[in-house]
Amino acid sequence: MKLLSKINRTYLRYGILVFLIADVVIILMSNFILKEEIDQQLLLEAEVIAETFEKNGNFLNVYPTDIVEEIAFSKVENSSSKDTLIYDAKHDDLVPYRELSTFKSFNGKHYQIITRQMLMEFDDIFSLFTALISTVLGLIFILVLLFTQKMNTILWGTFNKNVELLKGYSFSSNNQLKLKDTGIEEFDDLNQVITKMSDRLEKDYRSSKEFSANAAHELQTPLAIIRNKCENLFSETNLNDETIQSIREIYLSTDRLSGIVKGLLLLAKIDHGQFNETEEVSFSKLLKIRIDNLDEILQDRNLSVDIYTSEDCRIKMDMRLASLLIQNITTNAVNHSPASKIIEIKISKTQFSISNHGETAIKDPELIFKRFYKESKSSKSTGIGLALVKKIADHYGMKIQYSFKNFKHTFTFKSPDC
Amino acid sequence: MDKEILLIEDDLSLQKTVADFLKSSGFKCICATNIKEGKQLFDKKFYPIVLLDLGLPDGDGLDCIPFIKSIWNETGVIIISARDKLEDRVDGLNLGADDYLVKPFHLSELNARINALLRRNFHTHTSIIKFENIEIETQDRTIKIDGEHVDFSKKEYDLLLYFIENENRVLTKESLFEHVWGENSVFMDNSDFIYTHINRLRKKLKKHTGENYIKTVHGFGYKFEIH
Repeated sequence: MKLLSKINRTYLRYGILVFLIADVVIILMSNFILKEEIDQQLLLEAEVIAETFEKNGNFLNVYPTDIVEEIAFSKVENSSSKDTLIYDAKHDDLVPYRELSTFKSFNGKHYQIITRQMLMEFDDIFSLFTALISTVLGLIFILVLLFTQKMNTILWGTFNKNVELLKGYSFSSNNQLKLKDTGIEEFDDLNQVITKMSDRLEKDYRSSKEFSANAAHELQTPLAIIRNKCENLFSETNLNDETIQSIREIYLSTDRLSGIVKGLLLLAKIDHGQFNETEEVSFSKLLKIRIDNLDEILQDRNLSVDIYTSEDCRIKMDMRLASLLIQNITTNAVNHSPASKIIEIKISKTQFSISNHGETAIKDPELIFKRFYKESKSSKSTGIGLALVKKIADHYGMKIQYSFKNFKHTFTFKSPDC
Repeated sequence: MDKEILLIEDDLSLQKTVADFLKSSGFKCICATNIKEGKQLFDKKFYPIVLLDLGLPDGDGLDCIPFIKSIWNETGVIIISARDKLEDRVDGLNLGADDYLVKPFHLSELNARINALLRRNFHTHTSIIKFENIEIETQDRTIKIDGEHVDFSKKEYDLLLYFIENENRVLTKESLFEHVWGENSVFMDNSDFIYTHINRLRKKLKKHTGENYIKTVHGFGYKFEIH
């Protein structure tokens, strides 16, 4: 919720509460005061009537407002006032009156003097006051609304601009974050904290990015030298078997080391978000291309691949990472499948899966995605391929499931949309 | 035309290894260790091929490419970089580089790439490669033996061309696999696979030429040579 609407909503909520209480209190108070006032007037009137009566000896009753009646002594009471309803023939309705009874004695006779005044109906008072208070409150509310809006543009204007700047800010672009001065201490404090934080993060980001680049350069160049020196040695003719074996092992280890370094750097780069060109990737297309490329290798191992497509699976991601994922899971399936079996690929709108034959289930399915974990003792494997797969899947919110059924290892990848 | 190559690489040991290799392949190799030196050398003289490292002491090698291309557009630039091709390849190729080789690379692969680039960029450079009675026409990818057209599959063609370009040199199974199938050998268990394919090519050549040019070098790989 926006701050402004939050303020307005709170204001409205409390405003209504205050309005209700004020309404009731004001109505009760004014009712009370009004009656006091009327009673006093009625008393005055009664005294005037009593005086006239005493002077003239009689009084012409005016119904229903001024009445003098002779009563028995036993009925004499203290003067009292009350609300009453009297039938009005003209309106054919009961009309509320305030009534005051006083008692006087003249010449040994007792009289009751009743004076009455018509009252405004309670309902009328209620509606009058409610309308009045609502109008006032409504006016105040509109004024506050206008005022806060005006304040919002004045106070929050630069703040909002800074928020937009922050939204458009990313480490990968070269623009430095420059927040505008708001002239308001609290906001400027916040700006300072954010700027400091982003500077520090940017520095960290750059240094770890640099580290990746340097690590690649510093490690791969010596590896290139070792590998190339080995290649030169291959052409020597007078080597004994032991030397040949050693050179070959050095050569192969170089390959593996280089593969591991590449894999680790890729993992780091995915974390840094250096792959952030998204496009809609068609996995059915990608898998078909990949299987076509593997054709001869598949033939060599007498493997066949069955692809079942119900609908293309499309996911928005970086094409390079999608290819890498496909490359790794297909290689994994090919390497772990016994010869002359079938590799199954199933593609539907929300997921795709790849299965290869196997004798026993993987003992710790959780562990296979860990870096450097290997199920088989094969020295060829770098133990990083599936870690990359997992990283890429996690990066785009895809879920990976492993299952083992009917002698088939199956990896299922679920689209983040489902 | 002289087959001169300008190598810009800051690691002296790698520079020497590559230079030695290129010399043994019949190229003349001039070395520079940084961008400044490389630009100076290039300014003075035309080189048909520039091998360019990216992480150089005085800057990113990528910045060199526009300079090189502005002077001699025909010059072929091959980036040799430790950086992963996934990101830099795009940048490099956008800036006008012709090829990209990731360290550590196979020297025989480098040789093949240089030759391919020379064929592509300079039409004076012959497009027909001859070895004994084998003739490879690289423009339409056909092979003639004793003047007669022989059918080779795409992979067989790639293998044979790679072998002939790296004549008398030992090619490892890994290098062959990477060159022809474009897969990193680390990720693919391939020993028998290469053997099958080499054997097929060997038989085909023997059938048409009567010679066994592809020798097995025990423990290392294969070598293409006349006895």
